[in-house]
Amino acid sequence: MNCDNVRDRLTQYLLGDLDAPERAGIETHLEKCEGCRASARDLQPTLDVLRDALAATAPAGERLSPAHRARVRRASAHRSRRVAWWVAQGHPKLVAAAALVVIGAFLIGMMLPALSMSRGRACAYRVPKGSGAPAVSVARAVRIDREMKRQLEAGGLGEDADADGLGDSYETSTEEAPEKLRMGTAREAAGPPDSQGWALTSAGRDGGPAVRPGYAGASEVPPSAGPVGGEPEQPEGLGYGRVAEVGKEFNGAVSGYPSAPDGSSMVKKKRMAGKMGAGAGIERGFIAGGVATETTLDAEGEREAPADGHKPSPAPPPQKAEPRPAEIDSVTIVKSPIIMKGIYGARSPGTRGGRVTADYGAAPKEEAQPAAGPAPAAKPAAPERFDEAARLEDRRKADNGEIAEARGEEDSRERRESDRGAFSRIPAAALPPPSPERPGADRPESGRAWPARHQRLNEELADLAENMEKKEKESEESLRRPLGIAAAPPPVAMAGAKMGVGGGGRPAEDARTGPRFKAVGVNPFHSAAERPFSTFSIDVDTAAYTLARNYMLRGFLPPAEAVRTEEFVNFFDYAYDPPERGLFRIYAEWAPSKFGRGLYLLKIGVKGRRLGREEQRAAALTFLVDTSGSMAKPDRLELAQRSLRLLVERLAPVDRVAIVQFDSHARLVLEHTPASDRAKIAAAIDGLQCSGSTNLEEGMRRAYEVAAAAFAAGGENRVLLLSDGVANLGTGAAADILARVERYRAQGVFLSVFGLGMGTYDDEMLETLANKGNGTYAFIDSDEEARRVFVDDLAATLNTIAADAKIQVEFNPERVAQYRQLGYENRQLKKEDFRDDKVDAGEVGSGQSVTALYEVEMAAGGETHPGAAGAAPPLRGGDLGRGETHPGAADAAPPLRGGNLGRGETHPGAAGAAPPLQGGDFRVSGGGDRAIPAWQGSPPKAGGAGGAAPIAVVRVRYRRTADGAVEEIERPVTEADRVARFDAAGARFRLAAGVAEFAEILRASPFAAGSGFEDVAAVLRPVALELDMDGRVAELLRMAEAAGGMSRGE
Amino acid sequence: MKGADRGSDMGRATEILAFGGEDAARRMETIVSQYETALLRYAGRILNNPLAAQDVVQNVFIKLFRSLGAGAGPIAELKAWLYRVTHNEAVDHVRREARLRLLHSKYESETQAECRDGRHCSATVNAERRQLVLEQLRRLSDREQQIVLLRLEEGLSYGEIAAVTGRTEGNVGNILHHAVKKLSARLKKAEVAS
Repeated sequence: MNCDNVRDRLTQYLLGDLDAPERAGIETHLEKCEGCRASARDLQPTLDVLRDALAATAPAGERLSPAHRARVRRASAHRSRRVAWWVAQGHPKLVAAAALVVIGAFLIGMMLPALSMSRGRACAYRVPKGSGAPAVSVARAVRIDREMKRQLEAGGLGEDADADGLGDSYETSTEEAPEKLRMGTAREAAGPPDSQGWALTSAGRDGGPAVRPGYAGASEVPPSAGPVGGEPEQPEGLGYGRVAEVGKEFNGAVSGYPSAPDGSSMVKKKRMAGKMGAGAGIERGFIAGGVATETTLDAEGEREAPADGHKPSPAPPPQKAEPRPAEIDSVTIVKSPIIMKGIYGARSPGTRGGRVTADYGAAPKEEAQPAAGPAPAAKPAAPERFDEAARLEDRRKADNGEIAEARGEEDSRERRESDRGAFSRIPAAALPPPSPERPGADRPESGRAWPARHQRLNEELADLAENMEKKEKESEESLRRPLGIAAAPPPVAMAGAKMGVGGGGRPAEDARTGPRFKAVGVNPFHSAAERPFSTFSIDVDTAAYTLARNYMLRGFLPPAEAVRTEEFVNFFDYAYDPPERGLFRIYAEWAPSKFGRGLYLLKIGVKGRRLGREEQRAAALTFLVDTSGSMAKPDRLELAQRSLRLLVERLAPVDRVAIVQFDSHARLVLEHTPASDRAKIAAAIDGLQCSGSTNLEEGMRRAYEVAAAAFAAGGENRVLLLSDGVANLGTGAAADILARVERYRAQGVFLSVFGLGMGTYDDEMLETLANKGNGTYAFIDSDEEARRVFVDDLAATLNTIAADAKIQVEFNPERVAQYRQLGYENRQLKKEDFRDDKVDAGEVGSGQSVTALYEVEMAAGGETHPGAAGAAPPLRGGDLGRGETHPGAADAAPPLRGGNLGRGETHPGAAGAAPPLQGGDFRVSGGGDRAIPAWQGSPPKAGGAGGAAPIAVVRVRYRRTADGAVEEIERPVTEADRVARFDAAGARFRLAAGVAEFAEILRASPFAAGSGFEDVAAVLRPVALELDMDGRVAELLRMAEAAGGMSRGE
Repeated sequence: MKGADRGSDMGRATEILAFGGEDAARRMETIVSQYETALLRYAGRILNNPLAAQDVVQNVFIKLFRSLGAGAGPIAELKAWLYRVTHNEAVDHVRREARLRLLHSKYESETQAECRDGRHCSATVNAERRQLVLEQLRRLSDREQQIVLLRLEEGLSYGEIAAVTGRTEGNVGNILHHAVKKLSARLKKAEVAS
């Protein structure tokens, strides 16, 4: 390997991107080559500094804002809404341009039919009066092919037109002409034209050509010209037949171009036409004008006859139909509607031809409709004419010029009449299968069945539609089929773990999918008579709320399993006053519940004493930082680092800090260092880097080793785990870890767990760890939360005042029918465990408070004792703490001191006899082995004699960390704690109610079925106004208000 | 290989991309949640403006789901596709919104590291240095900057970067190396100067 090769790969080598053989090769080279070593030395710091710069300045935990997310969601829901994408892009110009294009195309499309219609609607023009030939106005003109026209013109008009020549030309033309005509009229139904031709011819002869050329002095078409028999595809219809023939003639004539004889034949024709009179005008027109009538049928079957303008013939130029291509001179060949019908009759209704037909048909129909009587008669009558027998009569009539007379006028009404008349002459065979609805045949007016052809078409359409449906279904199915490789494998379920909603969809870095939460169910109502004791261990974790907030900030509802009501409730500060004496103080308040129908909400608070500075013990903290690859996101390791920096700043100089990092292996990064040595600690924190997998087992082992080695007797020894919870743990390893945690806890090394990051997040594992380790479990998703946990709550986090703290609430069955605890589902203890001091329960830190809520259904008759309620001033506003009406309560029963309390011990230190119970004894009968102490130190009833019995007694039992002594305190919940109306209760009571209900809704508790987020928001709004200093309340209100619009994510 | 943990997502890139009904929404959320942070970061680097990055990444996802919804078939190497499209979108955005560069630089200056309580103000010195480095990084050519970012910040493997940029792996390695060398030289000059 030479230097060039090596130098080119130095970056990859330094980054570790090369595979082993290459790396080895480079290393060998570097050993020998100083120059390359120098290059490497130059590059390394650049890489370091680059990474540092990138890492330090990366925005933490960025997510799409809810607005953007919503747009993405909308876009993916409606696949075809391209406009929205552009709008979202914010390109109004594009949208405007597209809109203009669309509108323009639309307008043009709208105009097209209008244009063609106007073209098609050829105006009638008259034969000049002098011609003596009444005009036959038709609605269609025949377009003359330009080429044809040129040829004709060029062909000129010979002078030697004579009948024979004409006839010859006529005859000779018949061979070629049919081709052209066939092409042009291929669509037309065939029909024997003879009669029509004759009819028209004769009509023409009689002075009214069916086709009006507008040329005076049209000669009569020689009879031979008429029935050019034998053409199979001769279009039916009178005029058209005529025209067609003529056209054929001319076509034939033209096809003979440029031979002079043709021209002469044309001249002959002309003369002939002149002789024949106006009736033959068309020929003359053709001849004279050199106009070829090629019936060109365009796609819509329109016919246009450009007016002939340049003919030297004396015929005045016919009225031009507008709009006409200027280059085509033509004569408008006015065609009878019959012709049109005949031509288009074969078409299915609804086509252009059909529409035109309909127009015509509409005309007589319109005529007929006002005359309702004759109309129905006429219509059925009309078909009757279409039989062979009538044809002769028609012909006769035509011969008699009836048609001609009818068509003399110009106005449309007459035209319509003539149309009708003409129409009536169409023999049956010439027309399409006769349908009675011929007039206006685009719709079956009277509900009669569509003619067979239409039915066929309908069937075809139906088949097509069916096929399309099938295809659509197929395509839909194919879309639904996975387009890519199969879904991520279903999550590996840990023992007892359940998946959160949608957890299966999110792939995990560590082959596990989705956040994992353990569903714990919802506490049911318990009957106070059957089960008066509610015992649970104190839990001051708040991770569930932070986690849920994280989801909601991203626009999703959290998975129901992730929501724990007690953690929601305990996230907020209820401003309990700390106890003046003793370690804890119990608060209780109850009021009608806003959410429970006819139920009361009982709020119990336990506030711990805040240790003074001098009372705080020296801490020996071992940070166990997860530096696996999954922590590499900015909202994980870097957040952890910032959190640690925050924490270290707040430590007292005597506190000691050690850092252990673990990924695939565990490594001691910093041995126990006094917090005063900030630089060293900061450097160690900064030096944490991510890679590898998560070997929690080894990490825990190492951390506990370090903690044990630096154990501070009488101090706070704690391992603080910062992890995103993704641990490759087998069940065996998990059990080992938990066992280790318990072992150390027993010896006084506690564990606090801090979860980081979202997504592949093992909440259950982390919480279990914390529980076992007597530690708190908090979820840190932002710097703000880090500040709250490590700065504001630091004392609580690090200084426990009591361990194994449990609460027991004993309900009075005489007053309480049923009760339900909100939350603490997985903290429930048996009632015997309350006094069992070996049972591990929660720990309470300095200054911490715990709040528990119950929904209580009062027993019948046990509800209201107005007397009692009136005695104590109702609590209004403010904090319950100050308004507590039993100022002496806590003190009357001083905390039990000394030794372990055995079961049922009374207060040895109480002044002699316990004050007599007021308001009735409160004992549970038939309690079995459980000897329930009589009420100790129950306060004198403020309400005087005969006051109601307390509804419950709250007891707290804990082990003091200071001396390891176990204490128990209790307090009855009486009428004095009651507030008459929910709205009269303190703001924090209502806050607790709102939060709890919010959590209940989020976890889809069946008891919250009747409430919605709006109800919660309604309760919280006044609370937020009152507690405006607490940003968390405002945030909660915002979440509650926004929650209605969210859906559950993963 | 370093960055392998980040890059391991690639294996799962061709994941469920069926679109229909309830699943679509959930899978969309999955994909969005999985990639949004990385893409926002990457777009933020190119745009130097996290707010614009939101728009860009939103449009990238919209594009993704439209193309999938329209039955464009599975997107192999979803991650590479996302990075590539993000890059293009961001670059287009920058071109379109050139006048906003002033705002970008304003924002940049506002995000200088704070110095709390006067302690740890070594952070300020560090922050300046970091800004210098980033400035030099931005002065690299588009392609070089992209590859450097993808390798060092996003942690993509060479194969992934090759897929994103449409070049061969060897080419990517070369570009990376030269970019780093260039940076090294410039930084040295800058430090010498300052």
